[in-house]
This record gives sequence, structure tokens and C-alpha cells, in this order.
Amino acid sequence: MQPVYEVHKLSKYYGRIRALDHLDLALAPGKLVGLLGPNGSGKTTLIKIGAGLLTPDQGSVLIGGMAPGPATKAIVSYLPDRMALPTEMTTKDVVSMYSDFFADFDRVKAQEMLRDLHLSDSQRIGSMSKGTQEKVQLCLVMSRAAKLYLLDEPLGGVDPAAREYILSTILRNYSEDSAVLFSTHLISDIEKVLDEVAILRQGKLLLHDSVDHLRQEKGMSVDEFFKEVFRC
Amino acid sequence: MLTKLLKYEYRATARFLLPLYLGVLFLIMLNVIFMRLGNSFAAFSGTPLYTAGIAILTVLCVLGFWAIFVISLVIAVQRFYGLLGMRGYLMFSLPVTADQLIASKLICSVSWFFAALLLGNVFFRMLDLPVTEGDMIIAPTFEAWFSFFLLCVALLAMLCCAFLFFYFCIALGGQWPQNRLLATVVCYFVITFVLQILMMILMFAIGFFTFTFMLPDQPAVSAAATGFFSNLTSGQIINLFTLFFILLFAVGDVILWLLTRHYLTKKLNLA
Repeated sequence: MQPVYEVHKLSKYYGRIRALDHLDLALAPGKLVGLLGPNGSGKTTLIKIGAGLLTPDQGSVLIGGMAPGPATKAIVSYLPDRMALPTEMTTKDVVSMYSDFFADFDRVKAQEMLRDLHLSDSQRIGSMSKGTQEKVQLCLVMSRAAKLYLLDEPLGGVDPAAREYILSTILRNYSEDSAVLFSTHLISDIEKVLDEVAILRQGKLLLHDSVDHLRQEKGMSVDEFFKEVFRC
Repeated sequence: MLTKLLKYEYRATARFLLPLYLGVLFLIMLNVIFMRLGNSFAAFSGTPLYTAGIAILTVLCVLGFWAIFVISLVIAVQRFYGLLGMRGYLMFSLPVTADQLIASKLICSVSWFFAALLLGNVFFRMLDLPVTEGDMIIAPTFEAWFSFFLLCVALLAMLCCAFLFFYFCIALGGQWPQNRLLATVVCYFVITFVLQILMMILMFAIGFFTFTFMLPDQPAVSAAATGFFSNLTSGQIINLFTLFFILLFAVGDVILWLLTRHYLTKKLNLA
């Protein structure tokens, strides 16, 4: 089966700092993959390259067999680690915008999710709290029937009550032919829903394995394994 | 996709610019009403209220136009600068090409400027300035319309070149994401300086070559050039120069567009 997201010998430098170092990774469809690693390990860089916001210095990137471009952006649903929605727009406006640009966007699903999270249609994005903005952004991203979801810290600023809903939403929305790459530090919260984990260290892939296999082999949870490896 | 981008671009810029344009239009209307009242009632036109009113309204109109041009320029630059900042996280994840993104920003910015020029035209027409003997009145002939059309195209090409130069500097400055603003400003001044020096050298070189070697050594060429220009009317010479500038700006437009596209596709580095 063709991987949904595939990088080969991928390197990215910020000046002299090497953010990604000859990274090889392939994500199969139908998998929810946790992208883990300490700060500065290259998680956001890898996600941004997949979303087409960064150009790699070396190596290749394929999304559904295609190099990043307008065609891949049509099948990639990207959640950035920061607020990217126009602050002058209302929730209703951003729903219309997504509906205008993404053929796979389901407006009804978005409105249902916004209603479930008690988010007002007429509120301006700029007047919302950081957590509420993140919820709106996540609702939009998960309302698409994309082939690849790239979620950068989707739970970072969200309250624990909404986390459960968001996780169940992610699980409910991705299908057999799509993959989710999910970067987070809240490993214990997401461990139970993950199929695989990819752990980065200093821009290199330390480990890519199924969660069940990792637990069995190491005799500990992913969270415990992570703390063990990256103990300060 | 371009029409969709344009829809959101116009909507975002209109939030600031439309009230400004409508405000200036309101001032023009007020000015015209005041003038017409003065023309209709001779007793009123001699009063200090009329004189002061006209003076204040005219100054306000002129200041309004300045505000329109300055704010339109600032918004145009700020919108493209924002594209390589936080706003880029959304805009570059849309399934659109870099060409469409550049085009949407450029079309929107240039059209607001043309709207300002149109407003200026309305202002001068409504002022109903008296025609004096020294004024040149252009008859609405085909040649006059053609010259006017060429001037509009030249203005369009020049405006595009100016905006694309800003875009290129912003895209180049984006290569230093940690000091983007500083890098953009430095790029702007350094490139402007280098271009001015190069243009001066080029002009001197052309002038020197033409008058030192070509014309004295080649009397036939000199005679042909003189003959060519002496056969043209002043209007045709102006058209010829306008065409030359259109060509020059069009070449500049293409180069700046390609360079900006290169940085947005091959060197994109959103911080």
C-alpha cells in the first residue's frame, strides 16, 4: 500500500542549526501516528514541510505520491501550532472560507462540531480566548475529508474537558485511507488512541513502531518510555 | 481559485479603505455643494463663511487624497508582509499556487489605487475649474484616446512594478525569519541603491556610445534618426516614449514576479 506521507533523507537547516537530519519516515493510510520528541527535535519542522510551509534543504517529500504543491494541499488538512485564522473574521466567515477553498470540507460537520463545543457563529476570532481559537481551528481542520491530517500540538491550549471531545472527534473523522500525524507533549492523554509512534531526537528518527509492539517489547507505556529516553 | 482569493482580499482591505474612500467622496460632495451654492447665490459667495468653508474643504479633500494614497500603500505592503508571517500559515496551506497569491494581492492593491485616481478625477471634474487661455484642450479624437489609453497602460505597468518591487523585497527579507522586518527594509534600500547606480551607468553608457561613436561615425544612421523623429508629431513622439516605458516596466514586472514566485515556492521559510 502506498504511504500517504513519505520523506526520504530529509534535511532542513536553520542557519547552522540542523532541524532535520537525513530523516526517513513513511506513514501508511489508516494509521494515527503520534509524533513525539523533546523541544527542538524537529517535529514542527517535519509537519510544516508536509504542509508546504517550509522547503527542505535536502531529501524528498511525497504526499499521496506527489511533491508538496497545490495538489497536495488539497488533500492535506493542517493544524498549525499557532493561531492562523484571520482575527477580523467571525466563525461563520472562516467556515465559509474553508468551504470556498477546500472541496473536501463538510460545512454541516463543522457546524455540528462548533455547536457541540458551544462556539458562537457570530463571534469574531480576535475576541476569542486562545483556547477557543484553537478549538475553532481544530473544528475546521477535522471537518475535512483529507487524506493526511497534520496536527501540530492540537491539545496544547485546550482545557481537559474539551480534550476528550477533540480526541474522539479526531478518531471519528479520519478514515481507512487517511493518516493522522499528531505532534504533542501530552503523551499520556493520547497514548490510548495512537496506532503508532514516531520519536524524533535532534532531527533524527529515533524510533517508529506500533504502540502495542513498543509496550510489549519495552514493558512500559509510551509515556514512561519517553521519560526514560529523554530523562534530564 | 483566484476569484476566491480576490473576494477575501477585497473584503479584508475594504474594511479599512472603503470608509476612507467614502469619507473623501463625502468631502468632495460637500465641496461641490458649497461651490454651487456660491455660484447660485452671489451674496453668499462674497461672505467670509464661504471663503473659509471652501478653503477648509479643499484642504481636507487634498489631505484625504494623501491619506488614501498613503494608507492604500501601507495596507498593500502590510498585506503581503503578513503573508510571510502568521497569515501565511493559512494562506500557504490553501490549494492555490504562488502565482495566484501574488496576483490576488497585486490586482487588489492596484485596483484600489486606480479607484483613488478615479476619485481624484471626480474631484477635479466637480471643481468645475474655469478654462483659461493657456490651457490645452484635447479634442476627443482617436489619437487623443489612444494616447490616454497608452498613459493608463504605462501607469498600470508602473504601479505593478512598484508593488512587485515591495513584494520581492518582502519575499527576500523572509529568508531571515528571525529579523524579517529589518532584512526587508535593508533589502529594499540596498536593491534600490544598486538599481539606481546601474541605471545611471547604463544611461551614461548609452549616451556616450551614441554621441561619441555611433552618430558622428555613421552619418547615415544619424540622418535616419533625425528623419524618423522629424516626421513624427509631438503626440506620436510622446506615444513612442510611453510605449518605451511600458516595455521597460513590463520587463521589470516579469522579472520581479518571477523572483518573488521563486522565493515563495522554492525558498519558503515561514518562521
